[in-house]
Amino acid sequence: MDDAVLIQQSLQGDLDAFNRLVLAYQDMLYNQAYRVIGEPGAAEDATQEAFISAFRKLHTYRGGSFKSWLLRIVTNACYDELRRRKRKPIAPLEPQNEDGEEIESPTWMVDPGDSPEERLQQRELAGAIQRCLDQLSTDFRMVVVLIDVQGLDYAEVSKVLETPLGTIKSRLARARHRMQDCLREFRELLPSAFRLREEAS
Amino acid sequence: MKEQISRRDWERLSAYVDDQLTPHERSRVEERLGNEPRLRDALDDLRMTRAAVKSLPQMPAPRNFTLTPEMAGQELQRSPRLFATFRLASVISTVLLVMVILGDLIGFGRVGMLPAQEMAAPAAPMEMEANEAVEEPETSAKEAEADVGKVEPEEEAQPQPEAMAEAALEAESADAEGIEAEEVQPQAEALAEAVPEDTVNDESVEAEPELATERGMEEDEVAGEGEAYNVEPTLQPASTQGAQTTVPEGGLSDDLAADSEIPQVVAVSKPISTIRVFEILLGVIAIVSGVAAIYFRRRKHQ
Repeated sequence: MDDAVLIQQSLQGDLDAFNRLVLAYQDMLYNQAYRVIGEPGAAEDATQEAFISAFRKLHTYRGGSFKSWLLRIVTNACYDELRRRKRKPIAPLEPQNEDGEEIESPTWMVDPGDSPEERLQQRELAGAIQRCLDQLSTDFRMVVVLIDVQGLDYAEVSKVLETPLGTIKSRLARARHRMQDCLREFRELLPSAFRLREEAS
Repeated sequence: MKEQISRRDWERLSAYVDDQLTPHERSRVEERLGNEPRLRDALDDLRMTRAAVKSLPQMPAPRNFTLTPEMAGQELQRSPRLFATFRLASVISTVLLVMVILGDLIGFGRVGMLPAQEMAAPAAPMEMEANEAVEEPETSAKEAEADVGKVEPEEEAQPQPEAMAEAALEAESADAEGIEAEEVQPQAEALAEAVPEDTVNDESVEAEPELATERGMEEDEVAGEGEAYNVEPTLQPASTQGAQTTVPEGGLSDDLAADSEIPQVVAVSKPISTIRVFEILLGVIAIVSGVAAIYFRRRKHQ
């Protein structure tokens, strides 16, 4: 069913209609939250909060891209979650074993479709990229994830983050530059297609 | 590389890979890329970085995030109504309670001192009364019953306490040594004034002034209960008569009898009046509805 119809039904208090929207967009929102926050549990919380908030604020939706509207809400939920995490002890990105050492291959990163070698390589690459993302400031990370992970264009990101277009361009360029420097440290993990030049060359 | 490419060039290259440049900007960048190898190298690195980030796998949601009615706040929307209802109930019951208490104090305030006196009545005399009642001769009990029998017809036509009030007045003039009698006097007078003389049973009063005093007390207590004035006459004389027979036969002096027996009679025979029950009910409703209103108010803000 069309999003507009489901939205209209949701506005009339039809929770089932809204839950159909939830099922359609939950992967996208969870991905956004996970890539920005970097921790599965907190990403779940932010995603749930975002959907609750979306239902309560649905009357403020004035048409346009529903995806962008939802991404704005989950972005705000991520900011809230990150502020909470600042006040509390921050959980490590990688899960830890009983001895407090990081588990190299957490189960939540397993992709059962590939061979063990490919899976290992993908996990390591994804882990390295996520670490580099985590090193960015929140504002930079938001822009990179919205554009390179979610595939939004600059204008959409400008609306989602309520930030001028020029600022978005600038933040993205600087964020990519820092990501490049970070990924160079994991050069051996990058496949040949992503292999960056040595900085000295 | 940081030294080779300016920040502005890097921003242009970043927008170039995303195809976010105007046609004019794009043509200028492409022209420079043909002439400047360092820009081409930077563009290659930028594309690889972008491709690496885009290669991040899409994480499936670990669970469904569908909303329950509680999450959606649909349950909570009823809370304000419940809160308003309980708040109104609490306010109304509180106002009614205050009005009833004020009415009780103002309307029947002239005998308002008695409850405090009753509260101060010691528990020990109650035991004494019980013991003495057991020791009473059978004849006394019969007399008491007979007296009750006499009194009842009169009460149907005329309330017994009025006669008692008159008797109390006379008893006061004859022998007013007891503290209780003194306290009773104003109330007895007030009641006596409201009752025509021809309705008073003079015989029973003249015969036993002590009893009359006690009856006056009893009447005041009944009057202190408000509407109970006409409701409980048949019981009151019975206990009063019992008390009367106890005094002389127990060998106690009048003062002693008055001190020890008046509170006993009150404590044993006094029922909870309707107005007290009403006050208690209103108080309970006010408290319960107030607590419920606070509960729903807090739940709303959770």
